[in-house]
Amino acid sequence: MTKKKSADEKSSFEDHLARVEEAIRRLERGDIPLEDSIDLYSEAMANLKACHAVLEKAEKRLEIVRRDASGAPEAAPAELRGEDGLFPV
Amino acid sequence: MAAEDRGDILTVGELTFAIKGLLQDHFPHVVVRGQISNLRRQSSGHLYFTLKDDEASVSCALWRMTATRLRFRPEDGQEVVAEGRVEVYAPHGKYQLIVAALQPLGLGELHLRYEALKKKLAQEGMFDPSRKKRLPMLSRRVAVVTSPTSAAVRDLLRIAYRRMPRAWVTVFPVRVQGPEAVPEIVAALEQVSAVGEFDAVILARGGGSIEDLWCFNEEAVARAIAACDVPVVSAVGHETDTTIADHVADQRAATPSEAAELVFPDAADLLSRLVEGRGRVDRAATRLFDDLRGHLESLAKTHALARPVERFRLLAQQLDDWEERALAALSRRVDRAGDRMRAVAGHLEAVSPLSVLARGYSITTVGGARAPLTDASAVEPGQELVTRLHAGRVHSRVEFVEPPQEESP
Repeated sequence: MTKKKSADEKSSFEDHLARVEEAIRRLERGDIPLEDSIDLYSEAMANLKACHAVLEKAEKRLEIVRRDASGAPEAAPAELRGEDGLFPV
Repeated sequence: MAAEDRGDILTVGELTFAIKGLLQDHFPHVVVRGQISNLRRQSSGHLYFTLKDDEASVSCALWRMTATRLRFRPEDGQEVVAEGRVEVYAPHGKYQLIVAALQPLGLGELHLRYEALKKKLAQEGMFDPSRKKRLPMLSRRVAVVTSPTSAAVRDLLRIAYRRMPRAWVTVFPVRVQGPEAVPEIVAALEQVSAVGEFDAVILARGGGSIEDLWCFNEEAVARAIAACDVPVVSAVGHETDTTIADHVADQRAATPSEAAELVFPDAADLLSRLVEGRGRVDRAATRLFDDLRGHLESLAKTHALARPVERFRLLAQQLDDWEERALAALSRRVDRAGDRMRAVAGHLEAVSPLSVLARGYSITTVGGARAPLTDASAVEPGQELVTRLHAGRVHSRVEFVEPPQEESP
């Protein structure tokens, strides 16, 4: 299993969406200089793209944890078998 | 005198019915504690057994209706508490306890332990709302700690993948009943925390009696939930069962299916929010550039400039062109996400204000000022200018100025 990742590396979907909404608010208010509006527009587009990328980049994965040969826990691909339950593939 | 002539002679029936009256009047409702033995279940569904202790025993009958409502399976040797009434069955000369309610001894003890632990942890602040972590809007990776062969995990996964077809779920299989379950659940929660990649963890188990769910009332499990770095959603038992785990967890779900709804957002919903957001950005930008174009046109009119007028007119034309294409792009309905969204994004980028700059137009401001420079006579030689190009900025200093020429009307 992988080690802990630093919290800063995770820029969440939620953060990007919040930045888009902030940009929309300021653009809709309208009282900003031309240069700022260009920056805001491109920033909003970049954040929308990032949101879109998160949704598209995702790949379906279903795993079950089991012990490997040395007894350490590992995640193995799994499938639901009808009424029986979830098993490693 | 002969025996049959005495006045105090009773018939068997008279004796028995006198006893019946006495017993039934005296014991209309009793609660008796004893050990089950000689348990028989008839095909009718009625249960017959003997309740005994060191000194005595009493026959018991438990009708089928009562038997179906029992939340445990009675067995020989069990210590129980039986509630019911005494009846005499005259034809056999027997008295019986007709049992209306039966529970294993020690159930009251479990309730006491639950209340005591709940009070202790509450005093430590473990149930404080301020302690509870918020679930992220979108979880990239979700852990589920549950039995891999239960209906609970099936329902949970079915709903999860319906809402987020591309979800990444890792199941940590554990026992969810009995004392052996406790160290397994604790170890699983510690592993989830240690991996550091999960956005949420669901602790799930289907319905059961208080004894079945008891491992979720154990202190070790409660502390493992509290110590978990990842937000924990507790989905243990049915709506009416509340375990200590439910109180300590960051969120409580009435069922494993509801937990899936809490943790996994509806992907289609999110997509439509993004499309809506893009529309609002474009509309707001369009409006701003409308204003700019209007401003430039009025400048051109009021300043009576020769070549500068031409420049402004050209820019206004470019903006018209941009607006036309942007509106055309916006008027196409985005029916499907994915490819069509990309097409719109690409098109809009082509007509974005940034591309006006790409065509060679630039914005010049006097160093420090916010408003773009439109009048050459507003600057003097030696002043610092900042010119924003499509790529980068140029810092320069005014050498000399060509004042605007007078234009004949």
